[in-house]
Amino acid sequence: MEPPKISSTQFTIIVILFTIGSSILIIPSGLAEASEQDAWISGIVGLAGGLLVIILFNVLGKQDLSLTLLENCEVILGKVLGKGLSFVFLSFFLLLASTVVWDLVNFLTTHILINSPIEVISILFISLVIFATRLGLETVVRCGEIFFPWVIGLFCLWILFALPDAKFTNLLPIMEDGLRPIWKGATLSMSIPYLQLLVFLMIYPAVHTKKTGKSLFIGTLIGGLFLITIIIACLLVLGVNGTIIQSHPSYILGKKISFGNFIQRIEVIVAIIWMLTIFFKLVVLFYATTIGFAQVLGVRDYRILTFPLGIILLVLSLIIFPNDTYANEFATTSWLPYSFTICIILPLLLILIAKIRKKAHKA
Amino acid sequence: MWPIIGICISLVAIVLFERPRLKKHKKDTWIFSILLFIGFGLSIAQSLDYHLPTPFDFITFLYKPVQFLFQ
Repeated sequence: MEPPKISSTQFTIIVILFTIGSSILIIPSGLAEASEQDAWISGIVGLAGGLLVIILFNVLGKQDLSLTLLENCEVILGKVLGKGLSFVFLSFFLLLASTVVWDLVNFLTTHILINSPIEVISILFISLVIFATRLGLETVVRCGEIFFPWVIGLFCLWILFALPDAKFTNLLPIMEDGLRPIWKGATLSMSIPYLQLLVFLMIYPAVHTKKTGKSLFIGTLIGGLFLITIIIACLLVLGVNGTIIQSHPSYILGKKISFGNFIQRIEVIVAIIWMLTIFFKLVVLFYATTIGFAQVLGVRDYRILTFPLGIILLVLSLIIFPNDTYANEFATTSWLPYSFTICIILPLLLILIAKIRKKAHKA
Repeated sequence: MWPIIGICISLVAIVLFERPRLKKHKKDTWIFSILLFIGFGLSIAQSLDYHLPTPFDFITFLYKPVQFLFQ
């Protein structure tokens, strides 16, 4: 199978779409719950931390630019340990993909398709993701290029229309409870979009320039700025309590927009932005999982695995969270240490072992 | 009843769809069949309202000692 080739601009675009991804749904309410009116500060701190983690990923990716993360594992650790660690990474990607599906289906059944059965929406969406994965990375990335101006344009329109209702007093008092809420918010903000960018180490070999690391960094920075904009907009317009109470405050932000009694009810545009960005996040995750399984199990054509993994993903997305409360509780307690282990500690270990092996070879 | 019929129909459809690609390598057929079997076993259990355990319960159990760090 010929490996895919994408340019660094396309890579940056897909990173931005991924970062905005499902975070735009859950970050405003999650951060507001953790840090109240300082949610924007924890967003900025989270972005700073996330950029540091990206530097870590770049170091790991530079070990060998033509290998994906999992192949790199096998090279560094040897066959048995490498495959074991690869399975750990793959389970992370698969569980992450199922949470993304759950987020989208939860949003759709809460606000838009209220009486529809959850399984049907999941099946429809996952079929689309399977179809896109089978078409290959290049096609998906080009599709991202086409949709990118729409996402950015609609995003800017949405923020512009919401801003006349802004009250800057909603951001006061600043740092009322000190640094602890900002720490809580910053770790949450790091784990939801930024640590998940580990997935892009699976796509590194497809980018045929030396500037891969820089593209990842810039993409994360831009995506993070979009997220901070959303948090600030939600806080300004809805206020602290309004943001905490809602499960999807950015959607409610869209509902509140009434521009001169003419432009109203544009929350569907907000939903369209989300479905696009979540779709691309899910395709990247699913593609990484599929080629990951193909590399670990030694399958030559990854397309064969798309259907079985799609069915496992479907069932996982239905069983992972018994209810909404469990999901919120999990996202703020156990998901943080789990993603920190997989996305920071394991790459650090890999880099250390690689350095030690290189020194041993030279000596 | 109907969900199980739907699952069986989609199982047959997937196998028919993938047959040309699978005929080339025997190892691929084995891995495909095992993963598909797991997938359909899980989906039949889910459609029969059998309570499948959450993988996240296991993760919560693993990381309970460290949760205080992020509070």
